[in-house]
Amino acid sequence: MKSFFVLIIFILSVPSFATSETLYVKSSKTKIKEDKAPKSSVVAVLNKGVKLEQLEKSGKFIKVKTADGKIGWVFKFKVTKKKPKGGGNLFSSLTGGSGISKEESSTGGSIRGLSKISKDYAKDEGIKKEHVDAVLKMETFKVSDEEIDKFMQEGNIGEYGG
Amino acid sequence: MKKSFAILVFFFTLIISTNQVYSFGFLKELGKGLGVDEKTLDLLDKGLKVVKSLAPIGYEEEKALGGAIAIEVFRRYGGMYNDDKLLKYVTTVGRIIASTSDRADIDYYFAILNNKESNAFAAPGGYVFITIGLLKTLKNEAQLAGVLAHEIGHITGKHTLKALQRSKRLSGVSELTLTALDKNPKLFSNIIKDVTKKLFDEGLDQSMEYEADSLGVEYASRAGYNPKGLSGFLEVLKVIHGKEESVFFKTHPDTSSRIQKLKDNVLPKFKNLNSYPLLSKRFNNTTSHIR
Repeated sequence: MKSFFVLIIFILSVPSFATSETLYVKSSKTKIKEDKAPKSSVVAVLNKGVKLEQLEKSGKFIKVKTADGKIGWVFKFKVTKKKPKGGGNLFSSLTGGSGISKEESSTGGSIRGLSKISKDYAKDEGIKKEHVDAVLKMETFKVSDEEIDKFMQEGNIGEYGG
Repeated sequence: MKKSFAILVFFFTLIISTNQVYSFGFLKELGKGLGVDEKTLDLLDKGLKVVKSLAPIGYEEEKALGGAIAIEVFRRYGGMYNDDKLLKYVTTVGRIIASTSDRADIDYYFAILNNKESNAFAAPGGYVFITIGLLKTLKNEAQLAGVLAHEIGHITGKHTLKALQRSKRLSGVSELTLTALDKNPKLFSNIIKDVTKKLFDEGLDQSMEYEADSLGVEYASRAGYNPKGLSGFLEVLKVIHGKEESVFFKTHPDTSSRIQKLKDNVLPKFKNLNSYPLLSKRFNNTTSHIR
């Protein structure tokens, strides 16, 4: 009986048995590149929560292996030892996936649009529609991944930094 | 009996400390099975409800609160400054920083406010604001990155939510779910009033501002920007202080103290500070039309 409780308490207290070599992708569309060089070709584009095996560290990059055996380098700030909530589908844009799993869309940070209660609040408080529309605009304002990538390359920042 | 009660208390503590989502039903059944009397179980139930009110607020609720606060930001600070070219620039810098932050798994949204005072805000759920007045004072992209990263630090640190959870308004509220808030719009409205008062009039705790400074420098540097960006902006702000009336100075710690803390505690960990880019030229090219 005592050992049963000890076992339950142990299982509840320890969230995972991850080793130090296990990493998780922090945000969707994270690129794994063939080499550390800025213009190196992309081996895989991964979704948030995907599990990776750490092979080697070098400066701002970590050499990793995906579950299906792909090996490449990832910018170290794009991965974490802590498993993010939601996500976990392996590939993102390279396979045409949405990059947002069903679980992620409800728990992990992709709830789009103002909630009804926020809109009702604005209505009850007599706040002008233009201010509600302004929030909607900032939520839907688009900057493509390609534009962000080019911006980083031109400024030598992010994974293109020295 | 004593042993059974101890086991039950142990589970009670475990539920709270690990923030597991077991209902009281689980605890009650366990307690009955262990022979704990009804009165004791009721006391544990009340205790669990009180402690559970301090449990972290979920993302869906955070987003709803943040959305309403964002509407209030636009209402109070002049609405949106309509300049899509500038908004694209701010959003791009902001998203690069957010993607390397400690909370990269949520979406972040950016806006420029049509207000001449120097100020910036963060609302829960990923909303970040910067006034056109503040943008005009900046000298380079690293300073912009520092300001945005400071605001992102408030979101990753869940500072506003922590302040809200400590408020008396929520004492006795066992669950802050959207369902509960939907049923009680008055409570939602009062929460927004409390939070906006805190953000716009009183300011967050000084410790939270210092933490956001530290996180801001860290995130901006992760994104490849010069870590001196934030302190560079604060130096500019120090000069402005006295010349400009802004609520910013009321809601933030003394600017000199912030600069000193960064110099003493944060910046020394970065080597070769001058090797990081400031990106003055790109900043000036993109923002020349607002000067």
